[in-house]
Amino acid sequence: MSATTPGERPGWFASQPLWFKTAVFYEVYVRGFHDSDGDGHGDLRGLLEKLDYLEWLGIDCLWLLPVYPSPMRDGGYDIADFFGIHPDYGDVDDVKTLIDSAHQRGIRVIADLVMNHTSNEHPWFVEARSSPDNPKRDWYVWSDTKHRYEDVRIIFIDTETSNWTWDEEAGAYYWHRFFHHQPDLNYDNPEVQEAMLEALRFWLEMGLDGFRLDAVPYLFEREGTNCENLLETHAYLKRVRREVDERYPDRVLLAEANQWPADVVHYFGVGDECHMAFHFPVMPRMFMALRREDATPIIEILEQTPPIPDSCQWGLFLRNHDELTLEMVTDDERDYMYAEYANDPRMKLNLGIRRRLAPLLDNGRDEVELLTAILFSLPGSPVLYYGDEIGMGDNIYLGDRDGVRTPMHWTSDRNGGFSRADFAQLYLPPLMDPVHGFQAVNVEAQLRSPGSLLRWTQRFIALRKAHPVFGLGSYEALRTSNPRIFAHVRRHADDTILCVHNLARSAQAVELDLSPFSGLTPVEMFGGSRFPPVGELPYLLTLAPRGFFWFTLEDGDA
Amino acid sequence: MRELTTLLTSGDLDQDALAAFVADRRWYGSRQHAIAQATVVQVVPISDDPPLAIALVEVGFHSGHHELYQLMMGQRQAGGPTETTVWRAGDEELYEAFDDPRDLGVVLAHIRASATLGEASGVEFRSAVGADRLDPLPDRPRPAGHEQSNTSVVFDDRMILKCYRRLEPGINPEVEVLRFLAAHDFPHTPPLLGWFEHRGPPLDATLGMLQHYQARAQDGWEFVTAALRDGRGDEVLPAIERLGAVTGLLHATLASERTDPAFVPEEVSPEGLALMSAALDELTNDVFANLPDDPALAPIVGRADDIRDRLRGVSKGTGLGRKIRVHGDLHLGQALWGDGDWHLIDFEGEPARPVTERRRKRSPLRDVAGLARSLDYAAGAVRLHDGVDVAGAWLPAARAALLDGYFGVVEPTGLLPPTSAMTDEVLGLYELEKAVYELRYEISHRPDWVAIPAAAIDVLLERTA
Repeated sequence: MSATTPGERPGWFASQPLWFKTAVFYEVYVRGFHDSDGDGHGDLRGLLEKLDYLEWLGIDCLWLLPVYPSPMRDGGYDIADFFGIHPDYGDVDDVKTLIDSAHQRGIRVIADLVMNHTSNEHPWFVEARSSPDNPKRDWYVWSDTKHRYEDVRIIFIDTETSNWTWDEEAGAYYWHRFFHHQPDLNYDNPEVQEAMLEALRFWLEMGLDGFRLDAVPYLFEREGTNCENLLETHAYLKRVRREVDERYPDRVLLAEANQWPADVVHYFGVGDECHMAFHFPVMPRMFMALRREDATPIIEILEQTPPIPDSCQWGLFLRNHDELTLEMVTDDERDYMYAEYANDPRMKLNLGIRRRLAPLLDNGRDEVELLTAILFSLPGSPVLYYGDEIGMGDNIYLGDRDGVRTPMHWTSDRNGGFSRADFAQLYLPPLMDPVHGFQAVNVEAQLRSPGSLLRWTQRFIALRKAHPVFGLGSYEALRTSNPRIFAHVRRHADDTILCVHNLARSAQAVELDLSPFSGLTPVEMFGGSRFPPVGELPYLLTLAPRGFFWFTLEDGDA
Repeated sequence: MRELTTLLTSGDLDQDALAAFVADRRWYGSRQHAIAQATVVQVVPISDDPPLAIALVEVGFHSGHHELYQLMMGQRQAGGPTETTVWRAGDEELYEAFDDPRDLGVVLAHIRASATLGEASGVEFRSAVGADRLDPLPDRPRPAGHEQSNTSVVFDDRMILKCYRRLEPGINPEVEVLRFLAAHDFPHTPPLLGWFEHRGPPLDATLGMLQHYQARAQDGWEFVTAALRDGRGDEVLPAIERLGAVTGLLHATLASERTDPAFVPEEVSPEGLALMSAALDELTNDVFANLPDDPALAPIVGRADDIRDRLRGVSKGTGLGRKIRVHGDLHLGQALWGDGDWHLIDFEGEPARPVTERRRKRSPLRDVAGLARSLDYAAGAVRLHDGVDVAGAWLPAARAALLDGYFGVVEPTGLLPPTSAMTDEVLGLYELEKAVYELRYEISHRPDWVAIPAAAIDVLLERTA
């Protein structure tokens, strides 16, 4: 064994196959995180330089947004080469170095992988469109007529009018569920299936700990269906899982399937498909519950969420790089959300709201803490979005979803410490307004201030990680007489935790039926105070506006 | 007797007995978790007669995660003492041969021969020096005693064989660093003579190493405390200054690498200091929130805010200097005084931390802080146990001697923060951090000793940068 290489063999984390069930994830937009070479965009070496910060924050796994070669017409989700790195970000060696350095700090790394489509500038498509006889022709989905798959919804309704686009050179229409410059791959072609597996293997071999599989519901198409969640799609994903399990233990496949829970659970299979999937529908309901001051939306969607295999886990989040999607709500609920959260029409995009966490909550510290607490208390693994830990703002005057992808604020220095480049060179301007600007909101200032959101978040992450019950335990909602209170119990092995959250702007009292826990003593988890033991009568709690209590329920006396 | 390998792999070995044996060892690290099962996952025979085999044991916990431990299994007739017995079956038994090392000489022979045992997976023994440096192979092994997380066997007081118990993938930092130091002609460690490692499934990992044993040496703790007890504290000040210089030489050597990424010095990110302060801030909060009622803690009761103010007072522009590979667990007990000079030992890093963390680069000032704290503990120990109080005059002189020796060597290397004022401030922070960790440890484990870190925190707060 060379004295110079860290443990490279598979299984280097020494066999923790369910690590993702108790992990806290951090989604990082590499372009916006840190610029190491002063060219105005964030890069992989820049991210490397900030690993100490991420280690301190306490996150377990980084999720990298796409860094592949791309014409960048969809933030890098239009991939032109699955085996390379866009020069703006660095090169393949930088990825290896990043993975090794992250692993040294006990941090895993997963990356976005777009399976459904490529950029129209990908050599595969360039070949495919050139002639009907080209060997790669069948790698994409072609048609002479637009009148196929007619009942299929359009996803990017603000920019596309059809899922078919005519290609002059090819003399045919090609299918695309997303932007017209992102032709869908044809998964009925075994060569495509194999090519995608090759791409996965390339990065897994380097030590990457898994993938967020973008847009998986749309892989296959069949006439007479909505072309989403088809059996063939699931079969292929099961094949991917088998391949990954065989040679790369302890990796995770995280499905991005923006569907109703009853449909998303199929992406877990019987523990033989994806390990994780995002729980999209609960996310807007947390925001709805806050405005309505009513826990019902959250409780109901979780009630409607089927159980998942023990070896699987939900990915939970408040915000991400996309708009706050309102696809999985009713029309009335969507109108309500627009009215409450998107008072400026500029804030609406597709079927969602393109704002960051802090501005959505009017920069309310209590509200941010409350929603974070609810997020962390639910059964799943939380996925944090870069910058939300310091309460970064957004810029709704930027196009598409750029408003939530502005440079990270490290210091109050030039460019927020993001880059040494000239201001004019930056890929996007940093926020500079008096409330959300980098002078006011930055990592350096918040590190030094024990009461800052950043310090609170770090403490909160540590608290959650100290109790595996949050990731591994059961979840039971407690019905209370006060609908403004969201209370539930998490249980695992010897750990029983009671979480009580006040969604109202006013102080609230609630009587909880804790009779199954009679005789136990609630111990408040942040401060360690012992509360009166649970008796036979309903347990009275009073909560501050937007307040919450997390208790461990313990035996014994004070 | 049945063939050893068969016995270990046949499924006959009583897993409960194995689990109980492991759980009972000093080196077993996870006492707080109940063992769900213990399984032998790899057997590499290393000798037929007497029968010996390296066994890798996977210990599984109810939470689903695993740990891997190394055992050296021997086989003998039952009937003798049972402290080292793993499992008894009828009139034969399996025993742990690192604990009862009478037949362990074969490991030295394999190292001398740079042998490889096994094919697709197995054990590689490697000699680090020529055969002439090893011959004649010593043949009187004895347990080294005072074991904690590993097991060591001394041969003829000439060589010491150290076996790593908890295995993690990758090279052990001790072997990695000793090889590096040998390649750079660093003279202040007992020479590395060889090592052995497992290759192939279930993992690649260092299993153990062989090192020259300094028989006539005394460890720094004994050396200093003996002098203090006899009222000869001033006599050892030159030796303490020399220890500072040797530490400086260690760091200068470790920092000299230009190409190997595992050793090349690195810059600390701009928020490095702020991260360290924030972490210390949180730790202080935790520790001071639950201070027990103890008169020994009087100097620091209610002074958490003083610590926080001190942290806040560190100027934003203070650089932490550069990060390098360091000793990681440096204290007087890790320095051997013999033949008029110092030799440093035990480069494994902080016990109980994962290997990945122990191979990280850190500020060299952390090692210096470790020695400074250790001097404080030496003074504290003789005060507690022998009633000899040297804190007033000797302790500051000893710290000053240590730093003189250290900075004399390291200052020109460019490793340290840009100004000596910053260096003092950063060193002070590391000492303060260490003292707060010590306070937390002593409160839970050795309440008699809390006076030492409590007094240290008081002094560190008084000292102005």
